[in-house]
Amino acid sequence: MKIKHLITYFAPVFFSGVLLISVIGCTDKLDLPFEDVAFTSDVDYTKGEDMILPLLGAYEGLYTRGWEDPVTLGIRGDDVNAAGDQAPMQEQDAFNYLPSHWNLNSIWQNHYNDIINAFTAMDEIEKYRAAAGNDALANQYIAECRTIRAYLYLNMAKAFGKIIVIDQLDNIQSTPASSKVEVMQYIVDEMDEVIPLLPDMNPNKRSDIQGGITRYTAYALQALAYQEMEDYQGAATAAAAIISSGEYQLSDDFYHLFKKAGKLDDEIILEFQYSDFNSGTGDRFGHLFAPFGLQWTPARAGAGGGWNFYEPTKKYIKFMLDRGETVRLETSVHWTPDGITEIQDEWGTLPAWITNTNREGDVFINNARKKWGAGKWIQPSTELIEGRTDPGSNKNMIVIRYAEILLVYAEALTRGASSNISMTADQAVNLVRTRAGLNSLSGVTTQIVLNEKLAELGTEWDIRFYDMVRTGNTAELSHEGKTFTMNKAYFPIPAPQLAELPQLAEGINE
Amino acid sequence: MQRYGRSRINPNVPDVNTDWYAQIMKSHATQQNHSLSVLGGNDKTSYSLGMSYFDQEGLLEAKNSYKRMNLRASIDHQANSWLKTGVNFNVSNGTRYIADDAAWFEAYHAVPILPVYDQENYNYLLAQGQTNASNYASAQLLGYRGSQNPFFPLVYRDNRQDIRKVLSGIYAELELIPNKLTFKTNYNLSMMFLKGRNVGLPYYATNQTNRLLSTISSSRTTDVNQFWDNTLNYSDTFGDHNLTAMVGTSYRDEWYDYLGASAEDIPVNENAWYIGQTKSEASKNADDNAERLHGISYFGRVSYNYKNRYIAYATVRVEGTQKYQETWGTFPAFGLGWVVSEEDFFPDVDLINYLKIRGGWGKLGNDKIARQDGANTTNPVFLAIDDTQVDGTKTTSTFGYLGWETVTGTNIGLNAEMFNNRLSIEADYFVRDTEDAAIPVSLKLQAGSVLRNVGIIRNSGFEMVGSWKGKINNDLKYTVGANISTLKNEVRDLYGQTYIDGGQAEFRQRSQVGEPLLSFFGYEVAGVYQNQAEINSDPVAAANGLIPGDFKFIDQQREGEEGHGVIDDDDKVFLGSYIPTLTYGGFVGLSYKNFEFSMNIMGQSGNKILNRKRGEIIWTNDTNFDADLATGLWNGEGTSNKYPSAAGLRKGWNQNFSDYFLEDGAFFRIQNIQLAYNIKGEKLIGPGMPDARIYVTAEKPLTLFKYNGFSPEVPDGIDRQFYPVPAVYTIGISLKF
Repeated sequence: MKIKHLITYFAPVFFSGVLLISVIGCTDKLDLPFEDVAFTSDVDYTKGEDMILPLLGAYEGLYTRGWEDPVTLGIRGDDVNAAGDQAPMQEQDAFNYLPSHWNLNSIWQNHYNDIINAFTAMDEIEKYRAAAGNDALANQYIAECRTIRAYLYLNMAKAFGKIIVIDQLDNIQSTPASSKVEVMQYIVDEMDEVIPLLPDMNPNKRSDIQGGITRYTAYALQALAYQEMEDYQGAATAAAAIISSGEYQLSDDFYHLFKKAGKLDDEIILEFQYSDFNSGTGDRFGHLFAPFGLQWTPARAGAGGGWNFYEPTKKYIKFMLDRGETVRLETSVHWTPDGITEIQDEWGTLPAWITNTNREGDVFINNARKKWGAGKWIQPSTELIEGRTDPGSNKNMIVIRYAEILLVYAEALTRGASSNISMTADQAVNLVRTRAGLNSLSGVTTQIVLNEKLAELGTEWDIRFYDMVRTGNTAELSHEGKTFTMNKAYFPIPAPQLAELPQLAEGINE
Repeated sequence: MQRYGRSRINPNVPDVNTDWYAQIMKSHATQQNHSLSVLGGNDKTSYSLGMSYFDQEGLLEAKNSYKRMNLRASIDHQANSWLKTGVNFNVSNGTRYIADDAAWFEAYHAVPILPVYDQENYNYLLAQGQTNASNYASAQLLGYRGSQNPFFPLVYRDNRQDIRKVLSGIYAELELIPNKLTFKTNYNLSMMFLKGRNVGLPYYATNQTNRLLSTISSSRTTDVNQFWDNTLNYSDTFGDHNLTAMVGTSYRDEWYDYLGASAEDIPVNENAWYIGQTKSEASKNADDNAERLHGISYFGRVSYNYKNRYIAYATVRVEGTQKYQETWGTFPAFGLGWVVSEEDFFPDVDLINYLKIRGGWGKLGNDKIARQDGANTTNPVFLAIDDTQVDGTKTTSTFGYLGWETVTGTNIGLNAEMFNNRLSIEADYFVRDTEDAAIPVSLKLQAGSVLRNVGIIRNSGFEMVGSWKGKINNDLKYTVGANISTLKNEVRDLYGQTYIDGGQAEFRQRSQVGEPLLSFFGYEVAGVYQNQAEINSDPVAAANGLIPGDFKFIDQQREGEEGHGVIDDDDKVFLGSYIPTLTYGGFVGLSYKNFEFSMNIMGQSGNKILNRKRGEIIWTNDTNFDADLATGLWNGEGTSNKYPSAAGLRKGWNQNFSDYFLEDGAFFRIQNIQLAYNIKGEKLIGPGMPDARIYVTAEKPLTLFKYNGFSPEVPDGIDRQFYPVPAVYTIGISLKF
C-alpha cells in the first residue's frame, strides 16, 4: 500500500522534475560553432607551403572582372563607340555623365572589392611567414598583392579623378579622399618599395605562378603613373628598366598575340588568365566576353556571338585605312557587310583583303546594333574547345604589353626626357612599326608617337582616351557628333558612394 | 520583317502580334482535393485516422503539376488516473514538376513581334543536318540580344521534385495534484526528404540560342527538426482569488543538410537521367551545405484574478539561441485588466453586456533574423594559371554580428459586448519599439552589406475588430464583421548614423531617423518637358542635354538657395514607403435554412510599390513593357505629363530613380466567396444516410487596384513578379457518416 502510494504520488513528480531540469544540460549546444563555415581563426598557419593560397586568392580577385569593367573604362576614347542597348554607356561615350549610372557604381565596387581583398591577403600571408621560414618569399608575395592593389587604384584614379586610398580597413570612413596626382605619387612610391622584392623575370618564366606579377609589372605601373603625372623623366626611367632587362620582346605575330597562341607571350607584362582547362565540360575560369562579340555565323557551329556593346569608331577605322595599316587593322577591326558598305561610301574603295570573314572562317553578319567589332577582344570560334560555347571562353585578357611601354618611352624622350640606355625614340617606335609591317621613321615627334599609339593600341582599355586627356586634346576626342570638354575627363563619383563617404564630395574633380 | 512579312496595321513592324501570356498559359487548370477521415474511441482512448489526395495541374504549357498523398493517424489514451499519453503520425509523399520561373520573366519582356515558331529557320537547320534542331523562334534572328522566347525554358527543361515528409509527435500529461498541478512533456519530430532532379534538354535554334549538351543537376535535401517542450501548470482558487502559474522549458534542434551534384551530356531517355550516365567525366561536380541551429527557452507565467473583475499577469522568457553571437536574451512582460461590467455599480443593461479595459507592457525577442558569421571566414576559390586549375583562398574583411533584436510593446485596449451580445468590439492602441533592430549596413567602398543591431524602429497604430450577429427570423441569420488597423512606422534611432542606405543602388531605399524604415529615396517628377521653349528656359535641361519628352525633376532648392538650378543628390527626397498605413478587412455570413453564404474582403492603402519591371529597361532596353506605359508614352506636346517619350525611356536621365517608378499600392480584394448547401441525410432520404455538404468557393475572384502589375500584394514593395495571380474556383462535397 505504501509502495503503491509512493509510485502514485512520487513517480510522476520525480519524472516531471527530471525532464524539466534535463534541458539545462543542453545549453552547451548553444556554444557550438556554425556548421559549414570555415572561420579564419581555424586556419592552420603552421603549414608554410599554404602561404601561396591567399596570394592566389588576390589573383583570383584581380582576374574576376565584371563584364562592365573593361567596357566602361574603354568606351570614351575616339577609338571606341558604345553600341548595343546600354543607355548609360552610350551616354558616357557621348560624355553625358550621371552619378546614378549603374555601371559607374558597379566598376567602383568591383575594383574596391579586389583592393580590399588584396589587403586581407597580405594579412593572411603575414600569418604564414613564421612557418614558411622564407622571409624573401613572404615579402615577395606581399609585394605582389601591393602591385595588384596599385593596378586597381591606377584604374580608379584615372576614371574618377578623386578616390580613397585605403590606409586601414577599419578606418575607411575617416580617410580623406586623394586627388589623382596624389594617387599617382602613391603608386610610384609603392612600386619603388616593391620592385626589389619581386622576381626579376618575364612573367612567363615564373615557375610558381606563371604569368603573375614580376618586377617589370611594377615598373610598368610606375611608368604609367609617371606618365599620368606628366613626369616624363620618371616614365622614361621606369620604361628603360623594362627595356634594358631584355626579358621582353614584341611578338612576331600581331594577329595571334590576341588569340589563344598569345597566352603568356613574351610581349605581355600583365594579363588576366582564363581557361577551359582543356576540357569541353566541367569547371572553367572565364570572363564574360559577350559584350564585345558580334553577331556571326561561326565556323564552329554553336559558338556564341555577342551583345555588340563595344565597337571601333569610323574615325579609327578611317585613320587606320589612311595609314595603309594591314595586320593591325585586320586584328583590331571585324567588319559586317553593312560596315564595309558604309566605310566604302565614305572613304573610298577598300583594300581587297577586307571582308566580313576572319582568318578562321567566322562570318560576321549584319545587325542593327553595330557594324564593326573590336577584334582584339573577340576570339575566333575555332579556338573554343569542343563543348564550350561562351564567346571568348579560353581567351586571356591582355592588360599591359611591351609595345605600350616602348611607346611610353618614346613619347617621354620626344618630350625631352633623357635615358640611361641606348635606345632612341626612333628605335622604339620603329620596333613597333616593323612588327606591323610598316616602314621605319626617323626624327619622331610627340604627335607621331601618339598616332603610333592609337594605331598600335586602339580599342585596348582607356589608353587612347587618357592620352588625349593628358594632352588636353579636346578636338580629337570631340568626334562623330560628341563634344568633349576637359571638365568631362573624369566620371562623376557614383551617387551611392557619395552618400556613404561625404569626403569624396570635397572639391570633386576640380 | 523580311522573315515574317509586313504588318498591314503598322507597316514598320512585322505581321506578328504574339500574346505571350496566352501562349504559355492554359486558360484554366484543374485542382483536386479528396480526403477521408475516421474518428472513434471510448472513454479512455480516442483515435483519428485519415488520408487525403491532392492533384494540381500547373497553369503553364509545360510539364508542371503537383500530386500528393497524405496519411495520418493519432491516438490519445488515458493510461491511469494520473497519466495521459498520445502519439500522432503524418506521412506524405508528393511529386512535383516545376516549370522554369524564367518563362514568366521572358513572357513579360518578350517582344510581341516575335512569333512562337520559326518554320523557316527550322527548315534551314534540318537542311544543315543540325542535331536537336528546334522550331521555336529566337528574337536573335530579329537582331535582339536575347532569344526572348519563353518556350525555350519551358519546353527544354524537366524539373522534378519528390517530396517526402514525416511529422510525428508524442506527449505525456501527468496529473500531479488532481485539478491543480499538471506536468506535460511533448516531443515533436519532423523530417523532410527532398529529391530534386533538374534536367536541361539539348536544343539548337541559333548559334546563341541553344543547349548543345544536356545537363542534369540532382540534389538531396534532408531537414530534421526536433522540438521538446516541458511545462508545469498550477491553478488554484482561494475564495474569490484565482491563481494560475506555469513554468516550462523548450528545446529546439533544427538541422538542414543539402547534397547536390551536376553533370553534362547525359542520355536523352528519362530512365538514364543520372549523374553516373554522363559521357563526360570532367563535367561532374558536387557541392553540399548545411546548417544546424539549437535553441533553448525557459519561461514562466503567473496570472491572477479577483472575482473575474481585476486581472493581472506577468511572464518572463529567457531565450538562448546558437544563431546569434550574443546568445541569451531575457524578455519580461506584464498586463492588467479591469472588467468594468462585473462591478456592482455597473448597470445591468442590454446596451453593454460586457466591458473590459486592459493594458500591457512587454518585451519579445525576434529569432527570425538571418544568421551572420560573427567572425572572419576564409573560403576556397579557384583560378587559372597557365591553363591549369589552381586553388586559393579568400578571407572576408568584415562580418555581421548579432544579438537579440527586442520588440518592446505597450498597448491599451478594450473588449466590449453590446446590444444583447449582438455587437462585439475589440479595440487597441499600440506602440512597439524594435530595439537593437538588425539592419543591413552597407560595406564601405565594396558591394554588399552585413547585418548589425544598429537601430530603433517604432511601429504604432490603432486596431479595431467588430462583429454584429443578427437574426431576421428563424430561417434567416446573418453575421457581419469588420476590422481596421492603422500603422505608423518610424526610424527612431540609428545609433549615431544619420541614415543607412539599403535596397539596390539604382532604386535606393534609405532609413533615416524620423522616416519609415527603408523608404524609397529619389527625385520627384514635376512633369515632362513639352516643348523646346520649356527646355530653353530651364538651365537644368541645358546642362543635361535634355529634349522634349524627358522628365523634369523637381528642384528642391528655391531661387537664391544654394543648389538651385541643378539637379543633384540634394534634390533627392523621401518618396514614400512600402509599408501600408491602413489595412482593413470584412466578413459577411448569411444562412437561410440549409443554405450558407460567406464572403471575406480585405484591402490596404498608404503604401508604394516599386514597379521593378519597368526598371528592367536600365539593363536591357529592347524588351517589351506594360500596356499603360506603352500607350501612355509622350509623343508630342501635350500628350503626356507622366511618362517620357519612347527614346526618353532609354535615357539615363529618365532612369534616375524617381517617383515615376513608384505606384500607389492601394487595393481592395474579395478574398473568397462561398455558397454551401447542407443536407441532413437522415431527414431527406432515410435513416442511415450520411449528412452532406455541397459547396462552391471562389478564391480571390476580384481585386481592384490601380497599380500596373499583376498583383498589388507585393512583399517588401518591390515588384519583380512576372506571373499572374490565379483565381481558384472550387466545387466540393463533404460527407459525414
